[in-house]
Amino acid sequence: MQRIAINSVLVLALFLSADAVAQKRVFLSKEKAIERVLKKAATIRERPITISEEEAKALAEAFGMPILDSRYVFYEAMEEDVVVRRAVIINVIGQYQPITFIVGMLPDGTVERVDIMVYRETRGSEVRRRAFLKQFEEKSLQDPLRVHDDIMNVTGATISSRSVSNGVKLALRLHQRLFAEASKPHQTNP
Amino acid sequence: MKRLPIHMVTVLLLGLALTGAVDTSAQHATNDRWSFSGYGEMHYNIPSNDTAELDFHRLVFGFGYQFNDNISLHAELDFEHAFTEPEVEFAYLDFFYKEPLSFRAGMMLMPVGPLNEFHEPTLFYSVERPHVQKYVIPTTWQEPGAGVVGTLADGTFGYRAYVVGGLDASAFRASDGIRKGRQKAAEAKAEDLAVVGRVEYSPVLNLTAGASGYFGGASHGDDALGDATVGMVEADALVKYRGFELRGVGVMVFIGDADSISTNNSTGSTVGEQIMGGYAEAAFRVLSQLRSGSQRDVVLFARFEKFDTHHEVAEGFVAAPEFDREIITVGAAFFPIPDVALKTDFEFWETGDGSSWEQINLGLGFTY
Repeated sequence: MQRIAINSVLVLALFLSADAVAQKRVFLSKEKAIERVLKKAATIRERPITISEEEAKALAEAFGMPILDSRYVFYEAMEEDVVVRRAVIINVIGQYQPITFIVGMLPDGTVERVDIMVYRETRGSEVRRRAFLKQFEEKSLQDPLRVHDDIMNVTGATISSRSVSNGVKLALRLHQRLFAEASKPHQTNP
Repeated sequence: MKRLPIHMVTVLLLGLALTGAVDTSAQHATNDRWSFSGYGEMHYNIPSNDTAELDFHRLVFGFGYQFNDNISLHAELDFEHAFTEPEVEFAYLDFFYKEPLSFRAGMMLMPVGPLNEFHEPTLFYSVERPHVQKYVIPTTWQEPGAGVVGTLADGTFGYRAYVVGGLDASAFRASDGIRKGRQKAAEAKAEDLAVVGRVEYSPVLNLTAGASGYFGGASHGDDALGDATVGMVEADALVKYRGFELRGVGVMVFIGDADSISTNNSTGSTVGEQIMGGYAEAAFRVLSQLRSGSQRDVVLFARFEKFDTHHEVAEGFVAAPEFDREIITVGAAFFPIPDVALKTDFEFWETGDGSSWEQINLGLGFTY
């Protein structure tokens, strides 16, 4: 009886003390992510892109994964009316739940930086490792962007490694679709 | 009284875990709270000293449910040997608390060795799992309990630590040590509890090192078995370089009161006081290395295993040399896509009593 009482008090105390700090597993807020990838650009322009159901289907087929969103926003960092870099936030399914991350690109369609923003599972969050994400830098659609090929998986997070690789490819594909005409370097926007 | 502290730790963990239930307001990027997954593997084993066997070894249906951003359910039901041995492979709740801490409670996979928690057939290359992971580390090893899990330093360090139900020493036996002592939470004896944990360190992507430990009683109040304390220490490492993978695993199991267990267990066989095992495996991903951009892959591998479930026996008992086993396995796994594997390999067995045999294996594995 005494043991039950002690245990009950313990549980209650812990429950109350932990209440204040429970939070989501957010590694980077949207604002922080954009700021980091676009390097504190003075002017940021938003360019939304909507993909049709057919396009989503074709992309899902090509990547072997569901396409979760139909609307994406490219954030463009401007310097004197010239786009210097772009960023897009992507959601892809990991093992069970979506991984949210940002892909920063140069106007020529090469990846400059990838950051994990929200990871929702208890397994596989190691894909946020810089050593893993660094592998995407300077990659473009010309690269395989494939685990065991040009991307080394994080041991114990193989599925999430694959998902992020696919997501980076999706970002580059969307970039190509929206800015095909601007894919040549140093293209200025009107 | 002896068990009081360990009970309090369990209650403490459960209590902390429950606090994860607080935040129910967060939004998901998807409306779909359910997720489904699973895997299956079929084996064709052709040994030189026995009859051939076709076995739909495992068909696993997994599902998850995300209650909110903090609490999720992960479960797998395994229909082994073509539905003749159904079992709950795992069913636990994860309570995300605060980086780097989550709580976990339920039926959990024991964090011992590199394979027990990550055992899908597309994650290893042989048809059968490495035999050390069967005869020494009793994969798939699941126990009911509660604990903590998390990663530190941006994912460079990982850890799991649980308090779980103890093994049942009355079912230990000579050939596979503690394997039959798994109770799988089926009205399991729980007078004895155990602690189990694992740490992983990966300073660079190419290198992952892990160490696991297990300690707990297994007699559940049966004085004839003594305390039957089981201890296990394990270490492993994986090195990857340009399509090459080199893995090493070493494990020791210590069983207290092995004399009492050997005399009074239900299996009537002499249980090892010390069990040892280890393996080294080299693999090479041929296609993805030679033809960049190829979705298909072929992995060639070779593995050397050595394990002895009678490494040491209690005084007055005799170690049987047949339980000292060495296996060389060479084979290939073809991946038409990363989630499907067609495998074949040859095993060369040799035991301490001088007998030897070969086995050809063919296998089909998939994850979804």
